Amino acid sequence: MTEVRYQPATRYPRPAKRWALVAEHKAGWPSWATADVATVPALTDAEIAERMSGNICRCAAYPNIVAAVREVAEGDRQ
Amino acid sequence: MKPFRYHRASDIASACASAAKPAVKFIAGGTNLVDLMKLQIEAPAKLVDITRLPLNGIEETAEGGLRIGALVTNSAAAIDMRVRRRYPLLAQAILAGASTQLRNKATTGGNLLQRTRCAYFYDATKPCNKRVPGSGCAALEGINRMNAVLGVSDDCIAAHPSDMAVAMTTLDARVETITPEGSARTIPIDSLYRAPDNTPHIETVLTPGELITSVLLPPPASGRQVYRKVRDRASFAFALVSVAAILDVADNRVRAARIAFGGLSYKPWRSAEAEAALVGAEVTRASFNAAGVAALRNARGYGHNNFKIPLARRTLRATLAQAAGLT
Repeated sequence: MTEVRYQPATRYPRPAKRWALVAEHKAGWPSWATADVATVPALTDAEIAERMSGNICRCAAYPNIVAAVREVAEGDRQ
Repeated sequence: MKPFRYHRASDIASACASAAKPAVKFIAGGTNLVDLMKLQIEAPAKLVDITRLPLNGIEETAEGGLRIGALVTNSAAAIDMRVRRRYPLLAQAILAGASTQLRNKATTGGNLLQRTRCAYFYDATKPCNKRVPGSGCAALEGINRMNAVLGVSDDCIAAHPSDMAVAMTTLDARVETITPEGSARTIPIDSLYRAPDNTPHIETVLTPGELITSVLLPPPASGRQVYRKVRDRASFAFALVSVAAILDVADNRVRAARIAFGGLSYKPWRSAEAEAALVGAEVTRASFNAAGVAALRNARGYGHNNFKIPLARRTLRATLAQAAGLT
């Protein structure tokens, strides 16, 4: 399959992006992973993964980045 | 990117007037246009930046719906609690598209007018009637896996890429515009897009300089709203097929249904055939399957995209089953 890429090819997992992700969740934003968009979702791993989408390349660091986002969201390192 | 002139519009009338000339384009979020300019698929002589115009509000309408300003970002629309409560289908569809960064920049009007992602539209070494009228269509005999199966022509089989517009089509949205002459008009979203026929480079009924000012959502039809999207990966990919459905069920029968497909045509494909097949039908998988058969009866595959026809039938069946609560 020929795939057309029209996004900048690389987006690094800059800390600010992860903080924005947490801030958006704290502000009550739903995501595609949210079953009922009228509610404020819990920040599950599925929610974190969907919210990371487009931020970063997909690689082996993924699980650790999910863990880092959760750590920030839980306020351990604000 | 080719050099271009830039004008930041301060009012709607002057924005429309300056964009009525040839080779002038409006720019808002720029999430599609700037990419196309880098590839020189779009090479406007002048850009009219409309981002300072007062079109970024979401307001209640007298008929009990919502008016979404053309400059409301996709993110702002999807997080608005009125949209999430009354039009969950629309919030879901918006959230199914792109990524947060893009949704933070992309606007309601721009989303409607984004160009196809047909691989041959992007490949300047190949013929494309949409990019260069009269040059031919490389997708017809090419890798046309992402291309359309309904309503297209032998001159162009490009699919419209929006998720948001599919939900708006099911919701019977109306597009409000203003022309360079200053007259306002309201276009049902299903009439906004022009069939490719032999002029696929003309994609909408908008005239030069005509500006989308807002999208009107009528009060939501009763019934359960569901958006379902099938794509090559779970996130950040365009639809192979998507379905926006509103299903109203009573006493195990369908009272009313509204169905639109994404990924199948040059526009969000509202299926009157599927809707007619559903009204009065028993709430069973067999009924939902029959609706899919009716919806895809006139579909035509072009080789690599043949799979979309059965996929669309099954996706509709699954979407309706979800909306009806069948497990």
